[in-house]
Amino acid sequence: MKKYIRSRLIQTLVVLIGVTLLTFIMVNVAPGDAATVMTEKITDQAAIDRINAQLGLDKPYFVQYFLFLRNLVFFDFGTSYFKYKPVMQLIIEGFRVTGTLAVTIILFALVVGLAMGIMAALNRGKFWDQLIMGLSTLGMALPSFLLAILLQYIFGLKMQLLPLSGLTSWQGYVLPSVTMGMICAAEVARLTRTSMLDVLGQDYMRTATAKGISRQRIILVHGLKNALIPILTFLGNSFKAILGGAVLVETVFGLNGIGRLLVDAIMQRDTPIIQGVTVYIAMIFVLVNLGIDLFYGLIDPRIRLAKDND
Amino acid sequence: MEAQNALSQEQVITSTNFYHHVWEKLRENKVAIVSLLLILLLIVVALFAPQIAPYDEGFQDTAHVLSKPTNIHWLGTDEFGRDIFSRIIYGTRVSLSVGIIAELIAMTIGVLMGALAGYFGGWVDSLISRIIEIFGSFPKILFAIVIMNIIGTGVINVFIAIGMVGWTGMARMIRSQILQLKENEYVEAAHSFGAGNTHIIFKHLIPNTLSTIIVNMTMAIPQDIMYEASLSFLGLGVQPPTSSWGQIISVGRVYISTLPGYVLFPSIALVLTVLAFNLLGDALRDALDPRLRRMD
Amino acid sequence: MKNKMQKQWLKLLTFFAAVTVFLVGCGGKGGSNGGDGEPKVLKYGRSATQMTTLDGQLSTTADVIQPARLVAEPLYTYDKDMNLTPLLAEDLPKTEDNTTYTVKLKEGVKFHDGSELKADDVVFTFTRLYTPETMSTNTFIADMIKGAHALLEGEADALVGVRALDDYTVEFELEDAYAPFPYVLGSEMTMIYPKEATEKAGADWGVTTFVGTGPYKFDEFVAADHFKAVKNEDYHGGEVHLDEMWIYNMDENTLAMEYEAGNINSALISNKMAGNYADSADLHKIEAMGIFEVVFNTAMEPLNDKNVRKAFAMAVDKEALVNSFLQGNATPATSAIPPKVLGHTDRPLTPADPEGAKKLLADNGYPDGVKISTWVIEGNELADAAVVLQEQLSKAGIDMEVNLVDRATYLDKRNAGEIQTVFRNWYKDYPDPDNFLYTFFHSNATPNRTPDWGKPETDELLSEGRRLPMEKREAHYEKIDKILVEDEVATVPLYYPVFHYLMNENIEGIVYVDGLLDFTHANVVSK
Repeated sequence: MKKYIRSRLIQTLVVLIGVTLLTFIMVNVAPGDAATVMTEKITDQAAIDRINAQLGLDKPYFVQYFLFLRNLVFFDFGTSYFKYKPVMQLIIEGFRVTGTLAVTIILFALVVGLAMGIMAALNRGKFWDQLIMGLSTLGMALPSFLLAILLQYIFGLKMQLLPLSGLTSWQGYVLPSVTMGMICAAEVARLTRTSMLDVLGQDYMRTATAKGISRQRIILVHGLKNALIPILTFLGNSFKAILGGAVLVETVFGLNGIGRLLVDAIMQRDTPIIQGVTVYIAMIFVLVNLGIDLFYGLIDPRIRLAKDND
Repeated sequence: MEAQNALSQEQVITSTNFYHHVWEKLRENKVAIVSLLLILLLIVVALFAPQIAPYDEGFQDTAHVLSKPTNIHWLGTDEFGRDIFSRIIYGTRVSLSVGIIAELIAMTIGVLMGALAGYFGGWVDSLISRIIEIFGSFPKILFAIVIMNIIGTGVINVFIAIGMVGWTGMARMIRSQILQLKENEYVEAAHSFGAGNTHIIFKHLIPNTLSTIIVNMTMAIPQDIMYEASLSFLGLGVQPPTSSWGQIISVGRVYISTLPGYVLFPSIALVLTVLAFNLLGDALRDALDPRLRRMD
Repeated sequence: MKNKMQKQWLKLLTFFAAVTVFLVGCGGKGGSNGGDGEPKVLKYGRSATQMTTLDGQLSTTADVIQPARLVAEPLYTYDKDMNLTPLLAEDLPKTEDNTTYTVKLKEGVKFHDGSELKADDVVFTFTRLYTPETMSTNTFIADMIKGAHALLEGEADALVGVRALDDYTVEFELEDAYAPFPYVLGSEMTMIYPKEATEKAGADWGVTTFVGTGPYKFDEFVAADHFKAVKNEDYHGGEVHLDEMWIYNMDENTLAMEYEAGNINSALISNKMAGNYADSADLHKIEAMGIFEVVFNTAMEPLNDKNVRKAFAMAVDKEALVNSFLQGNATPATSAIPPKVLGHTDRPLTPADPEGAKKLLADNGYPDGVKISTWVIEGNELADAAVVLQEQLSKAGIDMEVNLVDRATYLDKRNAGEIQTVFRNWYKDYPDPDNFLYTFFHSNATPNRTPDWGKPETDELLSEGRRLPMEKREAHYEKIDKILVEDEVATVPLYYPVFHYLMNENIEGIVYVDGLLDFTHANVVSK
């Protein structure tokens, strides 16, 4: 176990350095830099050079990268070139929005998806099943931005039930969460249904029926147990993706989350933000993956062994 | 997951019979056949777009700007006076080619990386696995946005960006499958006959992962189409006058109350296409190997 | 059993319905007219993605200047007819030789922190603008002041050209005569900051602290999201009516929806959006002092050939661009200097002639037409103009490739001089032809702005124009305009734009100064 933890830590470190290096290379390969954007209207080359030097962009690339790594050790990502605030503070502000969004989306998907999946499985082949599966198939074919536009138009503008954009009140979270939540719920419903129906073919089903335990109950208990791992895998992946920035939904609903923070920074070549957010995202991925693995282990110790050997 | 790795040996042996069997199973599935027909129709539309569309995708009818659907512009016109119906027809080309070409790029990288890691093991495996993790450490859409910003917009660049984002899943699956396949006796046998590594990988191992590759690709194509639409929606897609559904939807939002069709029709085209690929993918997976589950 | 399940399902549905009703029960923001003792609130939305600071010295865009101007003020301002009027000064600047200007400050003007506006603050403001550590991006605005370049380049540590003669008198000395200098003092980029408070705030200036003499006081600022300012009870320029003034950054779709939903009561909307409100009484159209134009990189083939540039100009159908795509919401441009600016020439609009253009190209060695390219910032109105022109030019055998890119890429390409045809728009910093022509066509200015036009003859004329006394400048600039537009075809003016505002009918007292609104005496009344 110790060995496992140690190798895992080393892997994480390697990935983290790889991520920052990849980001650094990409940022510097991209045409233009922050000084270019900042000096849009300045005509005087001396002034441009000076701003370059002040931002540290005149240093050789490897020196810039080394300085970044040195500061990273102290969790210091520097100050944004355009937002005039420490990057750490910007990430925390963005995380407040994105984190809330991620939690509400996952909860929505879990509750609605499970309910729909159970409902469909118990009514296999009947009207409810067909309706739910139809909706779920449609849900998986809907790009999030399309659903976002639709919900915003109907509930925000036409019915004026909920805020259209922004987060002046907590209700601002409702439409974005429901948008992404519905899309995730579609997948959860499908996974739940499949897992539950799988139970029908199993040996213990016959044994249990022979014992006189109700069929519905077995499907429910064993099916849910079966469904746990695929749902967990799916929601875990969704969770990290959303925490990493639900950029489309954030764009449509005008939320200042991590996704928009990063995309705006990319447009302006705001390197400290880009580097900071990428490290943040990589850390989230590592942590959530670790969480998922630990959870697997809790549910079924065999999986952990299998994954260790993998 | 374990379930994904397990491919039964009998599938490997008689491939002709096997694919015949798959086709038989597919034929029984009405949904799959309808989806397949829809996809074939889309391919025809894409190939013959200039013949089908009443106007060129860039043609600007300055006398009819933002017109409602009429008999000269069936679905109305956009703010430049371009025929929306024609632009949707031409948009099929972008969506389908992104689905296919981007996925081919992703597949090539994924299969190669996966096969190398799985076959050689050791430090090669560690290295490739870390690379996969590094690339997998970004949400895909964000990663694609970053790449598009670096290499610039344009349809070729969309292929590259989406291809570069999508290969990790394929690589993981191929890797674990090759890990199992290389333990087989015929690999040993090939070695003892003096076959080189390249020969074994390309002639023996990769062909045996074909069903995984096919299932993976059909699953990924609709995703890629959605990524393209999303990139175009954010203004990072094709260059004018090329039309793409995501781009039409993005601009059409402005006119959602006055010209709802501007947003509605390309959305329908997009959703139907993704739906058709999704359903066909499901059916193919069931036919090829019912134990392969979508868990990615 | 099944029935039971369905009942549970129903329960679940009921639960969700209840939650929805609860969620919906609360909500509603929007402006208020102050009836029943409620505060008077004006909420103004616009696209302001670069509103990441309020320090107007750090940004040239209206995204920053519009909110900043609520709090801080320059020495002078403009009325709706673009006449320069004193704001913090007693009267217009006095000068004998157009080189030295004296400004008398109003006495008793208070900053929001209670300190009084003194000549030292003016000196401080201009010194700060040219101090390298400020990293100002607006240094071009007043660099005719003596010593500005020396300070900026680290050769001096004070700005010799700005001097406090006493507490209320400031003297500006320029490197050379510059007749339009008073306009510079009316530019929002030269808003006066209090010395003490600015120095104390350091890096927080414009982010968490911002103090000025203006009608509203800083209250709350969320970068790229919103700025909230509150009434300055002690305003030197008369009574302020609004209790709260909000400026939101929203994209164009959100803007219109939020306006329709009544959550904001005024908005600056795009041309595209304006078409949806053509019949609305809320829509106000304001002609802007600005220009959309195409300029050529004459260092690159084939645009070094004047005939190709001429063919380009002939092929462009400005009338169709304005009447069709812009739906009449602009004026076709024929001069590089906008109307109401000195030196503007009102040429007749020549109809597009793609056939003639084709022939001109064929006669001059391009029988198969030409292939050119352009790079435009994605999502900008210029990008749309490029799309329209792409189609128009194709009829004349000019194949223009349009590359939509992000701002950084665009600027990188532009600075490297790699863009053949630059689509450009410019709104006045101050209403003088120098701001339109020197800025773009003088070789001192061009390298980082446009393809390097910078011909010695025009350089000479442009420099001379700066030194000439006011009365001689009109004819002079008409001459330069003729060279650039007619003789050399260095530029193809496309149109003079219009700004579109949605204003709730109960809003009064806004002065429309171009793309910027003066909210000083704005009011929300009951009707």
